Amino acid sequence: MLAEFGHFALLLIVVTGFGQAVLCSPLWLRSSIRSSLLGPATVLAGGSPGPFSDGPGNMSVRLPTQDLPRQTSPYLILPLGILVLAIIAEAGLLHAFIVSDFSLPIVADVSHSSTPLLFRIGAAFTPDGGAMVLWLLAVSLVNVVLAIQLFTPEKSSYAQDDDGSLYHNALSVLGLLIAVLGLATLIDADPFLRMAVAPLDGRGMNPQNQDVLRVLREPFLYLGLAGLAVIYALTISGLLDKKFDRRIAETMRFWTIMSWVSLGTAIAINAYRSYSQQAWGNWWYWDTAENSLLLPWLLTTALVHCRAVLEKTETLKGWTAFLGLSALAVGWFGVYLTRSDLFGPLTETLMKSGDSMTLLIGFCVVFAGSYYLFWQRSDNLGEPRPFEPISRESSMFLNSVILALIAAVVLIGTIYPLVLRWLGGENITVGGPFYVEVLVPMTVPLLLLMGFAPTLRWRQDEVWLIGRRMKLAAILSLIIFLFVSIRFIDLSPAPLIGIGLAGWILTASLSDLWARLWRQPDHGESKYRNLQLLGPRYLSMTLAHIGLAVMLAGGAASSIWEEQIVVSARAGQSIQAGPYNLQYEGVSLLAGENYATRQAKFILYRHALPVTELYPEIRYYPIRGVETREAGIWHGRDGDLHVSVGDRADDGGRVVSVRFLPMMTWVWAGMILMLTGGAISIVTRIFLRFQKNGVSAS
Amino acid sequence: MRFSLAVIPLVLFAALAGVFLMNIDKDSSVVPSVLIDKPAPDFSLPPLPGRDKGLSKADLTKGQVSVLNVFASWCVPCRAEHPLIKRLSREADIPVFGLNYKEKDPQDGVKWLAELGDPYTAVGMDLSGRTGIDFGVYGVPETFIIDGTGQIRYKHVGPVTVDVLENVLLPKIAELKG
Repeated sequence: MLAEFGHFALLLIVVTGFGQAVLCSPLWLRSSIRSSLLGPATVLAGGSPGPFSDGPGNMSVRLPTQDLPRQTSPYLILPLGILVLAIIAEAGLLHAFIVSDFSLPIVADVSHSSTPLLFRIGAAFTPDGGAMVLWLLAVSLVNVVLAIQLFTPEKSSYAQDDDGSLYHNALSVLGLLIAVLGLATLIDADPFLRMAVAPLDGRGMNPQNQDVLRVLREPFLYLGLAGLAVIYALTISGLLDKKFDRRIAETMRFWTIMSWVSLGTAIAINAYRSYSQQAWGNWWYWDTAENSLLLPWLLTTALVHCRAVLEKTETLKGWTAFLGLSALAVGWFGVYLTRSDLFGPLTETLMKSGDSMTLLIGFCVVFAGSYYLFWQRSDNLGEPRPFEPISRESSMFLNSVILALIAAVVLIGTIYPLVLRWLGGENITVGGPFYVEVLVPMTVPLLLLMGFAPTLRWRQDEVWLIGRRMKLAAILSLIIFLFVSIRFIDLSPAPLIGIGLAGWILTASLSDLWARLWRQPDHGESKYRNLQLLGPRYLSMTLAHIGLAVMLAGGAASSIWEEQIVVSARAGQSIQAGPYNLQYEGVSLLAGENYATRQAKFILYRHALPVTELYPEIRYYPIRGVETREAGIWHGRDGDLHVSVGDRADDGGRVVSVRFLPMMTWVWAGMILMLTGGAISIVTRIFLRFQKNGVSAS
Repeated sequence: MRFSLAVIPLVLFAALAGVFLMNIDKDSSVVPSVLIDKPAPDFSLPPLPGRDKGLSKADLTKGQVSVLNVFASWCVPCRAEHPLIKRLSREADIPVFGLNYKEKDPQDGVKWLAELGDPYTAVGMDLSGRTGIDFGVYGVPETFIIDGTGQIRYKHVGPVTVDVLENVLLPKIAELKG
């Protein structure tokens, strides 16, 4: 029964979404609708004389009420209503999965009565319809947050005539997006359909998805995409009003960072999952599912930077608007690409046939319209003044251009097989070597730039000043680079360059931090002035940059010095890998909740001292008849030890694959540092906002 | 400024959207092969290092239905489908041959099989990719069903999934076995 409530809620979401789109629409559109419904006389009698006589379509029409946002409440009631409906829909679906209601085909397809509770919940997010409901919930949530922003307008540093038009347009666009997504869910993949005769049990969840990390990833992914929807809505809003300015950039700030952190978390979780659960010992495979996460993240990274330029100098309007539209476009496209039960980081399969037709058509219509609007408004996106070639803004522009080009390469690599198939009927896959070859030369200038760009001045800087500031970092990183290149001259150059660049970013970021901390305070300033001047923005940026350097160093080092040993081991045998020694104790057959597992036991020694015990497994899930492998991983100071077991070898031993990945821990630590940097920015932002509002209220 | 640079995103997007819309009805895994119902090409491949049995046309013409699976250690979908190839080999009770396609290092295939398990009756090593071309391999993984006389009867492009295994490959094999 709850599923029927959910179904009804989903229908209502579509209607309410359209309602929000119309009610919050730009003033000229609303006035024209109202006048066509009620006739112009009624409108005039309704207490809004004057402006409406200008007629519809005139952008200068403005309601006389200054405090329009607080005037009526549909602006908050509708988003709240949509959120409640989305919660009901999600709850209805989750309930069906939790109680294993197999009369819903969606449940029967991907769940089974023996699936543990956590994974029954996780299973609700994996099929087409379930993923769409979660996405709708996330968009409804950000929709409410945006509406609250509208109700408690922050004192903007840039606002001149703030009539709330920006938020109205944005809420209208979000309402439309919600309606389109809801409609696509209902038509393509309605999760609430019932079967007349329910099967006795389900077909079982894909064992590769029965993983805590996989379940955790979904909320972050869809929250990130929802944040991109807000950015998109704000961009469209600015374009509609012909006011794409620093005010919009300021409003976007929270949302860009929020999306960046959410998508980044989803990517990090995905990487760790590939590394541990699939037991392959690699963490990135360039497959469709991974690329579809990476694409919006790359564009969001570009957006984080050029948004700052727009806010600071009111330049890069067109570029920022383009990225604002495109980030959601690639995010939505990625969802479309990977929407199927095959959505593991496993397949390079492109798409199922007409299953997601409505989602695709919606995507095409929405973005064709958006880019058309972008073109039509290009007159308003010109630069008030060109910027100097050597300045902070030019470096950030260059950075975002390179990031966008990288995204373009990834996009081409992802859809190239599709295009080729369309042209010649051939099926191919594009794998890691393509990306490495094309992307490495592109990232080198990006990383070089990353070292000194944060020290550049706005407007204009001088080369010799940069040289003076970066002297120490340049020398130090050159020493690091020369040291590793001479020491390991026989190795391939790409990872060595990676280590050199990581050293450059690290030393440059730290020397800049140092210079700022030890700046001679001006006369009369307090001792702590330097600390205050750093601010959360600077700290979060530095942390994110350092995190990237750490990750780069770890990735490069582990790829160079990786040791892999595959042996056929017998109980009691010990295997040497790096500084570690693994003693194989044998395999025991155990029963998991819904799987049988062959669990191997290893005792890990480091320099003859026992460190820990590792239990890699081969799990067999009888429902789907599929095996999965879980690696045993130890994150040590000097690197990761990764052990996985295979089948019985011909000589009666057990195939054991041991990898020692030096500095692999740095990769994970780097990811965490980057995300922490972003999270600091979000938290201080929320904190400051509440503080400001508290002050203004008192 | 109407025909400014700002029209580029619209044009690019329209081109991409066109490609997607054109593709929507094509199922990527069913590629008509000119080889269907034709005899498998002649080939003779060396064994993996350390093994003594390679793979040749003669293995396919022993009067028994067989499966030829094209795989490579560098191919991610191959890893994904591997458990299912093992299941196929267990359940179908026919020889399952492996064609190890274009490895950089001959040892890669050996390591891969040692790590993930070896369901193959025999494996031939196609370092140059020559035999793969004769078989019309578009991209690994691919799976061929070959009847007892060496005729190619079915070809699946892309990773084998549970659906494909249960609803396409196993029934097809059962049908050919008669």
